[in-house]
Amino acid sequence: MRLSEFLVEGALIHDLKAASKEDAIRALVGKLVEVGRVLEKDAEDISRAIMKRESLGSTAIGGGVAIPHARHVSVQSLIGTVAVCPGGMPFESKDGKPVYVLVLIISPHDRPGDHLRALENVSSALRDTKFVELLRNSEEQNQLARLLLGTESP
Amino acid sequence: MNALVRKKLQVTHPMGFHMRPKAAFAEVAGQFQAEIMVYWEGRAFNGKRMWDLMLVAAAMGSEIECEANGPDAEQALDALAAVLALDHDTDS
Repeated sequence: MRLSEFLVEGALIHDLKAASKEDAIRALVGKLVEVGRVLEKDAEDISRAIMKRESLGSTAIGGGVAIPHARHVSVQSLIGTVAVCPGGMPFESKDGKPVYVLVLIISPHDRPGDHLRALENVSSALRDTKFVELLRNSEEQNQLARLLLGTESP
Repeated sequence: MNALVRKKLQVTHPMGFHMRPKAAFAEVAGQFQAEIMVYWEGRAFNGKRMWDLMLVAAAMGSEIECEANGPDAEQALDALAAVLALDHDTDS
């Protein structure tokens, strides 16, 4: 799955300020509610599912990137959003370093292949440290959207 | 003595080779001296690097080929086969 197929443009956050992992996850899910891609009644349950997954092991994979995710019955197709935290935040990374880019993914229960392909494409883009640096330096939401959605090859 | 061992491992988890088995794979691979490579869909990945393994979107029922090269190659592949056989429950 290409990033533009599942990232919700209106829910991207270029200047997240969050005190904790939980705050960050709630902010991202809240953004998906704000743009109508998640129902308000499901937001708490989704946030909890993501935190439960984090409790099994942090999804911070190094390089300042984390991919918090969960499966949830309320979504029919895989959706995601991205937050950039310019100041960095603790995310229990293996390398002990702060996280600057969070990619939140919610997938339906019955589409494990989409989930794996989404992880593959997110990782393919974000393993490039220069690209992560560009994302970190986004000064506005549009710029973040252009970087994430506008430069993919077909 | 160095040994080069290759083994095909089947992905048995319903969620495929998802993020937690990947993290466990990289961690276990890192405990061995042997170099660990993973081959999937004609591409080669460093089995000790999470960022490499994240690109292996192997679904349930598919096979990944693992290669270990080093003095503890046999033990490494046995340990990695055990990681893939573990049931990392249904959360990804």
